[in-house]
Amino acid sequence: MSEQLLFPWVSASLLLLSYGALRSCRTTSFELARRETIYIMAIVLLLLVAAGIEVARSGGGRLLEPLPTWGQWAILDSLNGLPLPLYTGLALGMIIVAPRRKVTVGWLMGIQILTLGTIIAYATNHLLLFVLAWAGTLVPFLGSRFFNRVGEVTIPREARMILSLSAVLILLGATLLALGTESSEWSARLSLGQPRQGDSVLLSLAFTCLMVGVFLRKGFFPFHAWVTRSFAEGPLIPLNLFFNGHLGAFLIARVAVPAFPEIATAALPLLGNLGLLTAGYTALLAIGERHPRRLLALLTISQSSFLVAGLESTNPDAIAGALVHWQVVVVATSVLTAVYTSLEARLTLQIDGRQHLGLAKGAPRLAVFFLIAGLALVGLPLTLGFAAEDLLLHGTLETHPLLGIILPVVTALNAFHLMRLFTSLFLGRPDQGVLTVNDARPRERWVLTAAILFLLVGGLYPAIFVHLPERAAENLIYSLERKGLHKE
Amino acid sequence: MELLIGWILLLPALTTAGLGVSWLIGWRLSERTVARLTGTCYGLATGLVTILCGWMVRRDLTSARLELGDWFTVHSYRFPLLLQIDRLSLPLIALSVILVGVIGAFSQRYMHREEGYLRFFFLLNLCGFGVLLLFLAGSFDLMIAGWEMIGLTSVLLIGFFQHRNDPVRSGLRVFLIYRVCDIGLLTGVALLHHYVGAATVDHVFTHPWPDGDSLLTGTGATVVGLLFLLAAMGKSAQVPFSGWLPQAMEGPTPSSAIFYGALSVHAGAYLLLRAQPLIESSLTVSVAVVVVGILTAIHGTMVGRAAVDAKTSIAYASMTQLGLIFAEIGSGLEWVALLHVAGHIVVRTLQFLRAPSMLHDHHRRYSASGGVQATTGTYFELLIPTRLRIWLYRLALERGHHETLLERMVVSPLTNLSLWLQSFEDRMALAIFGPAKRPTYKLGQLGQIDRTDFQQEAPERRFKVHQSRRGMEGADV
Repeated sequence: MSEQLLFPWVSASLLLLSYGALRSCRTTSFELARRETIYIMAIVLLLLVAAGIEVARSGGGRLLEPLPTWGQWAILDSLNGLPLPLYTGLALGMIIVAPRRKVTVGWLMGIQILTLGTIIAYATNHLLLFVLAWAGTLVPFLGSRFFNRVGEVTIPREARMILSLSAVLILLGATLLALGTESSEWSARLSLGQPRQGDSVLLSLAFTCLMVGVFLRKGFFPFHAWVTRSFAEGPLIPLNLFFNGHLGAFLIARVAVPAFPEIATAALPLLGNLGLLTAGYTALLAIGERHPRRLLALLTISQSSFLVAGLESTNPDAIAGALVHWQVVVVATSVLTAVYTSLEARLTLQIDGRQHLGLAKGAPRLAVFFLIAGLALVGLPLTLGFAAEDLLLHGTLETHPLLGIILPVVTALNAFHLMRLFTSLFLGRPDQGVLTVNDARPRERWVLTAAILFLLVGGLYPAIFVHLPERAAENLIYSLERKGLHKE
Repeated sequence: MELLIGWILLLPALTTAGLGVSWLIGWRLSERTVARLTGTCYGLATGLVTILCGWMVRRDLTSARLELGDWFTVHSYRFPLLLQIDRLSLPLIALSVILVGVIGAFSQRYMHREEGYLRFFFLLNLCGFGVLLLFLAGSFDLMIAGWEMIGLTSVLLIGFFQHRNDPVRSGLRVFLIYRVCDIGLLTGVALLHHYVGAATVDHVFTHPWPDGDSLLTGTGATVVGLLFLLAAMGKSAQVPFSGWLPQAMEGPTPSSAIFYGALSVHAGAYLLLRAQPLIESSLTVSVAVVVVGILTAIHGTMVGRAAVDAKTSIAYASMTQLGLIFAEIGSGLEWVALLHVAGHIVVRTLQFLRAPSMLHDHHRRYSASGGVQATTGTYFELLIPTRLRIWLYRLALERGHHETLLERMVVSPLTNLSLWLQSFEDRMALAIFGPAKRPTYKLGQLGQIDRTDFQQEAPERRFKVHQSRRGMEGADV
């Protein structure tokens, strides 16, 4: 039985965000739009933090919104209890940190649409809404008025094609899923995460479509090139937010495993290996890569691939590790992106990563933020990344020895790439012109400090951040055990 | 009384955190305050270790432990926070707190008015914390945290003079070797969980050090033992991972003393000593440890004789002794190895700290003796045939060609493969999707663009930078 939340936190958040996006659309003053967006996002963050606390207090159980008719549309549980406020906080932080010369009213609107879509996808219990939200997050990248300003090219054509294809595949998968399910009620057919029984051919096709859609969006090998090219040429902060939604991984945990336990169990080793291959291949590609934006993209893909690989290990430790790793990847890559973007804004030269810039002299705090976030991403002790890596390693070694062995190798390579990027940006003898840059401004300092504190506090007391993922892992395992598919 | 164990660890942690936070919020601590904080911290820690030692002797205890519960638990997996002191860790903890304190006092003057004074002391304290965590850890899981903390601080201190490119590159190279070898420790500990079900010392061994037997035997012991050996080889600069040690001398002398004379390089030996019963249970691992140790000792002594500067010479001497310590551990002489480690730590720290003034002393002695100095002994090298001697000399000058071999056999092939894959991908993307609208660099020409395009664009770029510098004043980014 599902209980009810004290307040419709998610619905209220979505209403506020929609209002904010519409206000941005009508406002001509950039400063006013920025200020209003920040206030609205801050309120949304508080609402979703309250929702997260309620989920944590309930022990990660399923909670519905207290709305008479539409209450069933959203569901909060251990899987989305933490990602909801985390993502909103991230979007708010990025709006505050983003260099003003790159931000426009359309940019703010785009971020709000992206956040809106991601929150709906996380919270919804309705298949159709999920598909709409998935497609909605693409709108700001496919449209021209959002992140596209003079002199700045938005994501390349192949990225737009691949992302559109992923949305089409998800729609097709959802349609096949609804059609293939044996039920007299449409509400049961369109419900998310329910075990499905019916036409096995249609259900297998639905699973395949959903998985290919996920791989396209997540940039799995061999579809990773769109991510690197988009990062190299596109707007970095929105792309980072888009990628860090991890809707693909969420779809696997929310839909694929619970809805198709038999098919998922048969396909999981293959999917896990694909995740592993992506992590290894992108780490290998990064060896010869010097362009910082592309290097950031490769690191993000490589570390994110462990997330999917962990989710597919059918081991509670590894699944919990993957979900904690999700939080680490989201926060750490956002800090890296924010710092790098602020450096780009400070320097008009194109940073190509081929020389030492020695920026730590002028911007020591930015250097420290970058270093800590980077090392947390690759599992530095006393950061949340260490707990995530530890859980992933132990869990995957139990069920998936190959991944257990490859994971530390790839992490070591990624750590080297990060250190290489750090040294080329911040250390060494600078080019004559690049002697002075400003250190972190107060608005940057506060946001980045909060993100770093999240990683460090999570490292000192990981139990806080492991609790909900543990429950989510148990639920996933339970959905496999019900079918007798999980082996201890 | 066991709570004192926690305080020994907490003191450097608090000092490190205090220095870090004060820097972040913009407090300008004076050099004297920073040095006094460090001195007080390690003075107190030394006092606590002395009290603890006295208490253990009085009660005739061979070990004491402090359980702080679980750091986190998931399903059946738990990460215990267990600190312990036994006959292996106690002498090393005592030496650590004393030596970090001594290095702190030495650095107060040595680093005076040096840019990055606070950074140096922050990293010194972080290193102290990492070392104490490694030695106090009652489980191999917790040991990883201390182990990696030592590695990171070591790398950051090698690149301490960040305005020069060479120390930065050396730091990066050391980081790579550390990370590659750390794979051994990470995987080894995970396998311990897999085989034994836990990685606490008392779960893996039957009795406290050195009387315990390993509960893990057979193939499992061999695999885990070899993985631990890989980790130890990286940290203790054993052949073929020894090339980083002379490069690590780019850091300030006090950091060289604490890392490469005293604590960091002995972390590998400590790991093997801690895992001694495991090593003893597998003949393969024992032999491997001895072979690695002897090869390193020969390599170290040979290359050290051809080294032309004091710090490199001491580094290779250190490597030689570490090789011998490894051979002792592999031979089952754990007490000899522990004494060797303790003695070596003290002697080598003194040598490193004296290195900067050694040349000055030599010149003064030379002048005082009127330019006449006694020969320093018989040259046994003359017993070796001339051609072999010349060949060995060349080999020593090239430091055993380790770096070249590593470059040719590992680094270059991987880099070339990566570049080829990038080029292939870019050509494929070009063929399928057409050229990018505004490429930030030319696709498929990564190798060439490194040299040519950057040179061509340099004047314009520099002009842009000057413009940007002017524009930066008062500009809000």
